Amino acid sequence: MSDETEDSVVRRTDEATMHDEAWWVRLVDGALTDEERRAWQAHLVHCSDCRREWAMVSAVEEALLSAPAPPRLSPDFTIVTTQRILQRQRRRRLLSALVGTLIVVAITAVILRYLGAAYVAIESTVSAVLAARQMLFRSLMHTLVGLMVSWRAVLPFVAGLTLLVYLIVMPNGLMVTAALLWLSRRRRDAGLMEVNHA
Amino acid sequence: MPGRRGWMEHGDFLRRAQQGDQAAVTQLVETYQRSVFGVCYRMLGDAKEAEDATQEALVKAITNLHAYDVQRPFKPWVLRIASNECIDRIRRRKDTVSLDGMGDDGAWEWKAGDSPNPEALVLREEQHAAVRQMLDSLNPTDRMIVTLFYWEDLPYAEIEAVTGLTTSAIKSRLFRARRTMAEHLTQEEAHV
Repeated sequence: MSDETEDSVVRRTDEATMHDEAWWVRLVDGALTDEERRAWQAHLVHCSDCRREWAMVSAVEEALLSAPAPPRLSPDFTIVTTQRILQRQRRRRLLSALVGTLIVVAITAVILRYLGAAYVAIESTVSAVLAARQMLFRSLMHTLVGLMVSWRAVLPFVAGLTLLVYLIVMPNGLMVTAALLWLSRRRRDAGLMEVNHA
Repeated sequence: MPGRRGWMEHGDFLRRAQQGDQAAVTQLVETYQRSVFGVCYRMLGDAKEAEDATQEALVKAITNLHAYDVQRPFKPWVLRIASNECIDRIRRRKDTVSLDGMGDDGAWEWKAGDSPNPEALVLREEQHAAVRQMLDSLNPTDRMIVTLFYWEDLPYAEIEAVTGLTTSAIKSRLFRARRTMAEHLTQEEAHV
């Protein structure tokens, strides 16, 4: 390899590729291998187009790298910019709060609207129930008043009916009651007789 | 102990800036204003307009921190916003203002203490003008890539983050931009 001439290197690296954009991209990016760089140097010796283009690109590179630095910023730039940023942040926060409040108010209004409608519906239902209950109570009261007015006519019937129910439902209770009444009268009579003897 | 950059990019710190902490906002502005202004100046060529664009980019970046991924470096994020701001401005003025008027703002004028040598001042102005004209020969995206590569020293990965292009596309565009500028330089020399 030490005897290898530049010509042999050039032969192994296809010279046509050195005119391709991909080659030039790698060249200016410093991405060529040592072997490729040697081939490139050899190619430059006999290719005037590449020599000229390489000189132009190098001149551009030099001009860009030696360009003077930009001027200084205004002395109050930092302060003014900071104030502008803080002001915009405050405005944005205020706007966000305003928008948030409007959204909450709108949602609340919608909810209240539906709740109001639901309340009206419930209230009308309750009112109907209350009215019905009132009517029922009034009817009951009329019935009771009617019964009280016609009490005399109804009383024998009610007493008879009660006695009948009592006799049917509670016959043992009736007999016990009669027995108790009889014993009570006997005891009272016996007491009166002892008083007369004495 | 994290370095300045690491500290600057810390999530808590950015969160403080987002919440309106003045010290955090000032620190962010101070840290990135130079880079952002450098990019805007190279893109727009006018110091006054570049300063406006820098301010706008920083305001947008810091007031929109909620959209920023704290896991990623902050510099490409802010430079991307600056890049979009500059491209918008170039598009807006394209039909009305010529870029040939660079330097009318007095940014390149001699200032006491900057350069006491008038010859150096002339040379500096010539260099400025040459670079300006070369950059003007590029489209805004290529101008941005050249600016980030040569003057901001950003690695390809960060240029990717700024421009949204792949590394191979960036390399290719960079080469074509060099070639375009070289052609422009040759034409200028031929005129002289």
